[in-house]
Amino acid sequence: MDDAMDCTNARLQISALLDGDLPAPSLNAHLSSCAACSRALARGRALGASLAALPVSRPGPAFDAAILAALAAAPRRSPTPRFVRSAAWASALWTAASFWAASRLIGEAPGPASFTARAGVLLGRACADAHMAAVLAGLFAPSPRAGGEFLAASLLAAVLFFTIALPSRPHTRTIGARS
Amino acid sequence: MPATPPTDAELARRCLDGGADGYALLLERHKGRVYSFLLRLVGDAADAEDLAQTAFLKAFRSLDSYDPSRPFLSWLFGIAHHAGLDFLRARRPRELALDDADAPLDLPDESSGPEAEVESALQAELVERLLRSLPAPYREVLLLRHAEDMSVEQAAAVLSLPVGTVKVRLFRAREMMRARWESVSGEKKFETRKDRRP
Repeated sequence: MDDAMDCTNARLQISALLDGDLPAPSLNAHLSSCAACSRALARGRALGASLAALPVSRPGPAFDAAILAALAAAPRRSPTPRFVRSAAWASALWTAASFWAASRLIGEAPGPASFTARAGVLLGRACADAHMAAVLAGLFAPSPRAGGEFLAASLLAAVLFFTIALPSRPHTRTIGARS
Repeated sequence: MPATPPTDAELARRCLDGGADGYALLLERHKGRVYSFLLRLVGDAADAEDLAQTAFLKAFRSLDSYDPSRPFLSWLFGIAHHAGLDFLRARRPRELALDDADAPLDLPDESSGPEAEVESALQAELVERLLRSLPAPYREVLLLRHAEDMSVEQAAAVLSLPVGTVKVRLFRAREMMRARWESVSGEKKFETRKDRRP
């Protein structure tokens, strides 16, 4: 079985070994009898060590200044003040909370309700839950881009609520109204 | 107790929040490695410096798209890799040919190399020359894997290539380097098992 490994296969295995894979038992057997492949393994290791030891060069002294000047001339974006962003997220959270509470006020009509009406209530609540979850996730998103994606998801949930769930609701309880 | 230096992700966050010192710290931390990678990729100091500046500016201007759960340096190397390849594609497309295994070797004539010492590390100058003789796609997989000590998976992420493709390139790159090293030291290129048997 071990003799089945020829030098070409052994070189492939040696490369895999140098990339951190475990050596196949047949490779060890081959190496013990093949000086050329043993040398290839030694050379591969020496090559890796030599590449790892290559010196790190430094760019010229004006390198940093050129980049920082270019950034200052055309900034990535005008950073939004922290209080503006905080206020924006607070309002998003307040809207989501109101939206969620409103969805709970959608009650079922007295008497037997149709399947569509029940589904409308459930879908409305699910949309409100998804909206709230997306806003909360956006608040704790690791990057502004991820935050934007969560905000888009919350808008989608709101659109679903108003276009599908709300029109099919059977009855909306208004605050102060008697049933 | 000394304060822990901020992580790359924290510095990136600081930049996004408008802190200008974050850029300077990220530059100071990574410019040497990015510049060295590009210098070995394109082979010219002025071009490498221009490309490194392009890569840093592009990275800093698109920090929004950086995922802080991933290593910042891998993300940065991905941008540098694309900048380097775009440059070579426009200026020296022949260097991107993957079947360019017989490219002329720019090696010194003197026989001062480490001929007999198989186990010893190569001299840095010889490694640089051997590396320069490889097509750029093979050069960069070796650099990422060994000079940057990345795993095959990390290198694949930087190069936007499947892991299998990176493994194949690493294999071919090592075979080319070994063959060229042996040609410099006057050894046989490849000795099959069949040849050794009586």
